[in-house]
Amino acid sequence: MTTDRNVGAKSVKSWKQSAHHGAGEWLAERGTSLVLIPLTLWAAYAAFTVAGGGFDAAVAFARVPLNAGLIGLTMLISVWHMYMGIKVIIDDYLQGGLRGFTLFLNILLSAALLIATGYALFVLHQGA
Amino acid sequence: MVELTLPRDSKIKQGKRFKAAKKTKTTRTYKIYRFDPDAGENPRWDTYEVDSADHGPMLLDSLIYIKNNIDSTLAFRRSCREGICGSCAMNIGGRNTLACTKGHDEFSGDITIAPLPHMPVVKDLIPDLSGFYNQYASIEPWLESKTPDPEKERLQTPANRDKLDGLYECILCACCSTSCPSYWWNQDKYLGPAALLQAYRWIADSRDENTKARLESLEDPFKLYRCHTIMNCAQVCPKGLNPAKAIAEIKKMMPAK
Repeated sequence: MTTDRNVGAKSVKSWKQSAHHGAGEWLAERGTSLVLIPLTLWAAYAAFTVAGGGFDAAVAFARVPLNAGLIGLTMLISVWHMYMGIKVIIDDYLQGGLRGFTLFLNILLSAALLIATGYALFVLHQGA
Repeated sequence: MVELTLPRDSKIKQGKRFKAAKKTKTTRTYKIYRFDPDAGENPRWDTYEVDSADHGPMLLDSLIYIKNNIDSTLAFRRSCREGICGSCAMNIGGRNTLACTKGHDEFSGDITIAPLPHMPVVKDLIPDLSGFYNQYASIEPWLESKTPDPEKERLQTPANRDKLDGLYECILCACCSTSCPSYWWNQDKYLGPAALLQAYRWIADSRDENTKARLESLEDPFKLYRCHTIMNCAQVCPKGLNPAKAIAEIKKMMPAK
């Protein structure tokens, strides 16, 4: 397990190779963090306003097009940010098959959250 | 896969104790990591009691005293004994530093001395740094310029020369890289603070004309972006440099390249 990761065995030539990406992800991590500051404040404010009003108040709130749009945006940016954060942790600590499997789970979890959000907003829009 | 415990043959056992003939006020106790690959045994902590009055003020003086007078089998690297060669980098009192510039009076109680963490051990306090040197070589640590050689030296304004301060002083002792958790977990993929500080030393040099290619070869989720600004590198650097800041400068330049 440790021998195949022997750093001394890696040549100078192979160290020179690069994946030629990473700057985009770095920018996206910072960009989503910045955008999430106002969106999270709005989400907290929204949760505060609908609190105590029960199910009907929440449905009425989410039916307002601006609110629905902001809910969708908050979820999209949050899930994107979460996906990148979890990927960093996986890349830090896991190798080989376990890394691939957890990266796949990460994609699955992110996609499930986004699909659920989209579906919920769609159902509310239809007026169920 | 994550390894939460040391492999069985790496577990450190209790070793020999070399007692001082007579304990005085200045007697210090050193717990030193010992490993001999030829012996086929686990590593061990050997304990040495030494009177500080018998040798000079630095930890390297203590080690040399132990080797000369108590136990000649102790192996460690040293050369300049003045903090410029980087040979005697080791983990002293739980922190990477140079034995030659660290005074034994800077510690209280027993002093533990171990090799630089998370590197293959050649013997006792001597780590195998070949991977570390390959990482350094890969960043092409020399001036690359397309303009033909001038008759005399390549000139640089004082302002441009100032940009190299805090970078050129690096002695490649490996204290920073081997103190970095990201380097511990991914040293086969992550260049580490030392190599990246050196990479930035050439990126920041106004006389170097290969900046774009240098940045391109560094743009990699593992080679560069495993730095999570943990800052252990800046904390341990015996020359007082800040590799994390140099890495941050590279990251800032990357999107615009």
